[in-house]
Amino acid sequence: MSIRVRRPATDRLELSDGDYLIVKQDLTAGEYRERMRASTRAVRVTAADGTVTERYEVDRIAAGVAMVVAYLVDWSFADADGAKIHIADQPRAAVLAALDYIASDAYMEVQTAIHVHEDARAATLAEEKKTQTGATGPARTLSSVG
Amino acid sequence: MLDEPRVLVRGKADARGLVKYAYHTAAEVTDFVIMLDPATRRLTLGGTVRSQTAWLASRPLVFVVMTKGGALRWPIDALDVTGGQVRAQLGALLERE
Repeated sequence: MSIRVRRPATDRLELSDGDYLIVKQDLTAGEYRERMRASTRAVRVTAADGTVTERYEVDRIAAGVAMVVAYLVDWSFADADGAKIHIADQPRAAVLAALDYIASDAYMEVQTAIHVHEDARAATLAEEKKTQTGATGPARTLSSVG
Repeated sequence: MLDEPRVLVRGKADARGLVKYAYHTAAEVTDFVIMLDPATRRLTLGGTVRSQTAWLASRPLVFVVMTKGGALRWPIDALDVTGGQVRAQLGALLERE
């Protein structure tokens, strides 16, 4: 039996001007699914015979925000008056509103930082998996005896 | 009746209390009340569980109440969820965010 649940862990991502993000190290299956759901949009396609079907395609803009919302736990950002913008434990809609509220360059810095974090974690997990499974080549078999 | 438990925090109609395991939401609680027993200085939480997740079995848990200026957090020392109702013993208020 192997452990398939990760203890929640966060990473601190340093940004410009001394700001930082607190992000989830990894997503759970549920968080990943929610992210995928928020990254797609339904498209109605009408065939030549008039049949209407619904397809889902990736919405590239929504996918960026979905990734940010999935990982973001807290940040150091303040509003124009210097008051902290609270996002920790806030409902998804409030976090989305906060992401809409900040300056566009600040948002892009957040998205880029989380993207880099995700890539780095994927590389780390791939390396860990390789180490756990041992040899990368095919398993050796014993030659017949006798 | 000075020694009777008194209401310390009462969630308004739209108030949302969260039982958290780290950053995971273990349960959403509505109609919640936090009572203080002056005699024992114990804090007791009661409320209705609107939703719960598997994280509710994890420890340690924290009860979080959102406020305009941030959040109030109490460590949960003991928790019982029965029939959609939560009852918990809370520790001292953690540092206000």
